[in-house]
Amino acid sequence: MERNLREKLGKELLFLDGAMGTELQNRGLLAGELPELWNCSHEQEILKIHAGYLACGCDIILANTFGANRFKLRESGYSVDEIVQKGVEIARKAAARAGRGYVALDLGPTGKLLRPMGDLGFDEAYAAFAEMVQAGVKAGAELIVIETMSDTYEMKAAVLAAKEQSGLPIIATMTFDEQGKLLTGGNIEAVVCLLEGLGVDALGMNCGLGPEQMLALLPRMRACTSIPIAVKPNAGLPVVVNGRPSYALGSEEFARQGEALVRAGASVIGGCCGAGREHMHKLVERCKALRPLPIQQKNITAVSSYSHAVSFGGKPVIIGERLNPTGKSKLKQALRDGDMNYLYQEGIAQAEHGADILDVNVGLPGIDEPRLMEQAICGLQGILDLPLQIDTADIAAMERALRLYNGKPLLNSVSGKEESLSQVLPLVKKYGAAVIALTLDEAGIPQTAEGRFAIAEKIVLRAEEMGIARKDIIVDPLAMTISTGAENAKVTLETLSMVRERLGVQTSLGVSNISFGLPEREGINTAFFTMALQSGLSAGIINPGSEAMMRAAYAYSALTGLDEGCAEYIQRYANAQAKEKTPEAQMSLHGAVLRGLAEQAEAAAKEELERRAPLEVINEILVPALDEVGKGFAEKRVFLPQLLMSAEAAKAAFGAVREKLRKEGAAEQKKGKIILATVKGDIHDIGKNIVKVLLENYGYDVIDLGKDVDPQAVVQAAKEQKVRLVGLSALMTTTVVNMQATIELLKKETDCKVMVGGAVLTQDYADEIGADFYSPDAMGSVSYAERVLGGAV
Amino acid sequence: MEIRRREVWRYLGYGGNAPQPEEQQKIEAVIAQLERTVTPRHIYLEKPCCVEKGGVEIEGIRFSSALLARNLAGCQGVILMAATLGAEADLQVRRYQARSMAEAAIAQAVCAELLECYLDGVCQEIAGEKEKDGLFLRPRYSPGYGDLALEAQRDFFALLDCRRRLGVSLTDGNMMTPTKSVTAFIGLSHTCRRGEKSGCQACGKQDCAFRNWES
Repeated sequence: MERNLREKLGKELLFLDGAMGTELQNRGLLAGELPELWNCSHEQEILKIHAGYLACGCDIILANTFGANRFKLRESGYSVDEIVQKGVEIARKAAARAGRGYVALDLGPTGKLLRPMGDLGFDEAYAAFAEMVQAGVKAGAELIVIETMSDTYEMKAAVLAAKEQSGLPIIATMTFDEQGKLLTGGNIEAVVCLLEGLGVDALGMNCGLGPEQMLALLPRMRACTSIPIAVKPNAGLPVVVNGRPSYALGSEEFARQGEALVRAGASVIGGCCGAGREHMHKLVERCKALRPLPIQQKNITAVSSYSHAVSFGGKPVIIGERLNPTGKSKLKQALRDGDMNYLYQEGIAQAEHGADILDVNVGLPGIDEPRLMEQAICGLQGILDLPLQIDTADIAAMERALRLYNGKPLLNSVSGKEESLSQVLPLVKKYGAAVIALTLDEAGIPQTAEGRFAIAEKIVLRAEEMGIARKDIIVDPLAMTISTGAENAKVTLETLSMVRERLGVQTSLGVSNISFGLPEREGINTAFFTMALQSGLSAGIINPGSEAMMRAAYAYSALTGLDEGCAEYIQRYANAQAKEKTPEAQMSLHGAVLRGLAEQAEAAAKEELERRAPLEVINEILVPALDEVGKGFAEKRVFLPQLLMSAEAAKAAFGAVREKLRKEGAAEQKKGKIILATVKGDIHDIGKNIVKVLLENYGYDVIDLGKDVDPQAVVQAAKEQKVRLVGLSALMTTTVVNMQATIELLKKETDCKVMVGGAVLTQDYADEIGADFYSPDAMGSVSYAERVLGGAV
Repeated sequence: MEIRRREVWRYLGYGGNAPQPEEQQKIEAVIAQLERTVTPRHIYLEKPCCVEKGGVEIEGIRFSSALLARNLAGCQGVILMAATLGAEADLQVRRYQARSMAEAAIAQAVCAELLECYLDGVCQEIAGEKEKDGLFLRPRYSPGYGDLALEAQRDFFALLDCRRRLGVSLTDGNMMTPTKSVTAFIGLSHTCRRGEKSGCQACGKQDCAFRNWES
C-alpha cells in the first residue's frame, strides 16, 4: 500500500469517510452513551462501518476515537489508552482486509472550555490530547485528523500535541457558522493564519454546515490559505424530527453539492453528521475522476488573535508600544507589585485608540519574567481581541508566551547575532510565529544601509534554511536618533526601500527613537513616520495615544488610496471637533469622590497635595468622603454603582498621594494583609473583586488568589504571608461545600478569621459552615476588617 | 429587543430608586457597548415527557424535582432550551473588571437583563407558533431552581448537546461556561394557566434584595 500521504495531499482528490455517530445511532447507540466505548463492546459493528466506507472508495478512515479523552472517559471504567488503541486497531484491521485506506486517529474537542472562557488549563488540554496521540501512534495510526473544533485555543493544544508526540500528517478542521465564524468568535482568516503557522498538512471545516453553506465560505478560505483544504459537511442543515436533530439532504444532492465543493477548491472531502455510507458512495462515484484545483502560494504576512488576523503590506499596521516598562515608572511599579490590572488598562486604552497589535514586554531586572509574561499574555488575550507581539529577550519567557498565545504570534525579536539566530528561529518555526528581525549583529548596528541590508538578508536566508517562510520575517531596519547623527534617518529609510524591493519582505520600525534627545518630538516623529511609510514601512511600533501619529497613519492611507473613499479617515475624524472635551469646572476632592469622578478626583488630589501633607489628604478628606459614601450605602441612599464609582475616584486620588509619598521617599503604610479567594469549583468572582476594590481603598493590602481556588492554596498563602483575615466567596449552593472545606482547613492549620459572602449565603448558613463573619454586602467586609485588623493607619 | 432599564436597576440593587445622572450615564454607555458587541444565541429541542409525582422523565432520563413536576403537570411535551450571550460577553465583563468595577457590576446586570429579554423574545415567538396547535408554554424552569439540583445540568446537556451546538460547556462544578448562559425546561400543555405566577412572583423568597414587586 502506498504510504506517501503527504505527497498526495493537495495533488490528488482524497476522500475521508462519512459520519461515525450517525452510523452508530442507526445501529442502536443511545443518547448520552459514549460512542467510543463501542470499540470494546461492539467491535464487529465498528469494523463493518469502516469496511462500508472503504468499500465506497474512501481513502482515509477515521478511527472511532473522536471523544476518547480523559474527561469523557472519566467514569467509563476504561482508560484512554485502551479505547484509543482499540479504535485504531479496528480501523487498521478494516484497512488490511480491504487492502487499502489510511487510518487516522480522530481527535475531537475535550467537551470542556479552556480558560479564561472555561475552567480547563491549556496545559491540561494539551496533556489530554497528548495522551490520545501517544496511544494512537502506538496502535499504528497513519495520520491525525483533528475536527469539529470551535475554539482556536483548544485547536492549538491539539495540534501541538499531535506535532510533538508524533511525526504524522495532520488534517485540522473547525466548525463555522454560516457567517464564517466559530462559536468562540474567530473568523476564517484567524483560523487559517493559526493553522498554517502551526504547519498542519491540510485545514478546513467540518460539521455545523451542509455542503451548500460550506461552498459559500470556501472562496474566502481559499483566498487566504496556501495549503490543501479539507471539508466534511453535514447532510444539510439540521431539522428536528421527534425531538432530535436530523439531516435531510439526500445522497444524490449531497454528491452534487460535494462536487461543487471540489470544483471550488476542496482537495480532501468527506461527510459529517447525517452523511453515512450511501452519501459517501454517491459522492465518491461522482467525484472520483476529479482532480483538485492547484494551490496558489498566497505569500500573505499575517498574525492573528483568537478572533481575527492582521496582515502586513496594506494599510499601515499600528503596533502599540506602551506595554513596556522601559522609562515608565508607574508600569514598572505595577509589574513589581503584580498589579496586572494596570497593564490591562494600558492595553485597553491602546486598543481604543486604534492599535492593530500590542507589543508586550514585561522585562525588569530581578523579576520572574517567564511567569510574569505568562500572566500578561493570558490576561491580555482574555480581555482583548487584538493580536499580541511577544517582546522579550528571555528565551524561557519567549517559549512560554509563544506556547500559551491563542493565535499566530508575532515575536519581537531575532537579530543577526549567532546566539539569537540559533535560539530564536527554532522557536519561531515550532510555534509558527512571524518574527521581527533587527538589523544588528555582534558588531553592532551598521552605519550604512548596505550593512543593515546584509544582516536582514542573512536572517531571511537562515530562516528559509530552517523551513521558515520568508513572508514570516518582518525586518526592522532600526531608527537611531538624528540628534547624534545627521545621516541616521536617511540610512533607515534607504534600508527600508532596499529590504522591501530586494528581499520582498515586510517591515516594522520603532518610530519614535528617531527624535530621542530633541524637543517637541512629535513633530519629528510624525514627519519621519510618513517618510518611512512612503519608503516601504509596513508597521509602526508607536504610541497609539499620540493622536498626531495616528493622524499621520490615517492620512497616509487616505493619500495613497489604501483607504477607499477616505472612508476610515472620515469615520475617525468627521466629528473630531465635537469630541474635544470641554474641561470640567474645578471640583473639590471631597465632591469628586462623592460623585465618583476619577479624573477630577486625581486632579483635585494633586492640588490638595500642594497644600497639605499626604497623610492629611488621606485622613481629612479621602477617608471621610469614603465613610460618607459607605454610610449612604448602608442607609440605602447610595447604591452599588455609586459606591464603586466613588471607590474608583478615591483610588485615583490615592494614586496621586502614593506618588507624592514615593517622591518624598516615605513608605506607604498598609493596615494589614487580607486574603481574598473565590472557592474551588466556583468561577463567578465579581463579588470578590468588588470587595477587593473597597478593602484596598481602606488601606488594606489585599492578596487576591483569584477564582476556583483550592482549599490548600488558601491555607498555604495564609501561612506564608502571615495573614490574619481571609475572605471567601461562593455563588452556588454546590460550591458552598468547598467553602466549608476551606474554612475547616484554615481553622485546623491557622488562627485566621474567615469572612464569607455570596449570593446563596445567609447568616445561618455562614454559621453552619463555621465562618466567623457573614457579610451581606460589599461594605460589610470593610467594617469587619476594621474590627479584626484595626482601622487606624 | 429593548433592555428594560428598571430591570437593570433592580439587579444593581436600586430597589425602587433611580440612579444619579453620573451612574445613569455609565449604565447607558455599558448597555450601548454590550448591545454592539454581544450576539445572543439559542438552541432548543422539543421532547415528549412523562411527568410523575416528584419528577419528570425525558427520553429515559429522570429529573428528580417535585417543583419541576408541578411546573410541568399536565404537559405531554417539554422544550429543552439553552441560550447564551457567548464568549464575547464574558470577555467584555473581564475587560470591564480590568478597567472599572463599577462598570463591571453594571455589565453583569445588563448581561442578565439582555439574556432574560432575549429568552422572553424567543419564547414569545415559539408561543405564537405553538398556539396554532393549541399548545401553551409554561414558565421557564432551570436546573438549580428550587429542588432541582444543579447536577441535573449533566443530563440536560446530554439531551440537548449544548457543547457542540451552542458552544456552552459545563465545568467540573456543573457551572456553565460561557457564564452568561441559561438552560430551561419549558412545558407544553393544552391548557392555558392564566394568571400564573412567573419570575419573582413564583419564588418563595420574600426577603430577597432583588425581588421584583411590580410585575
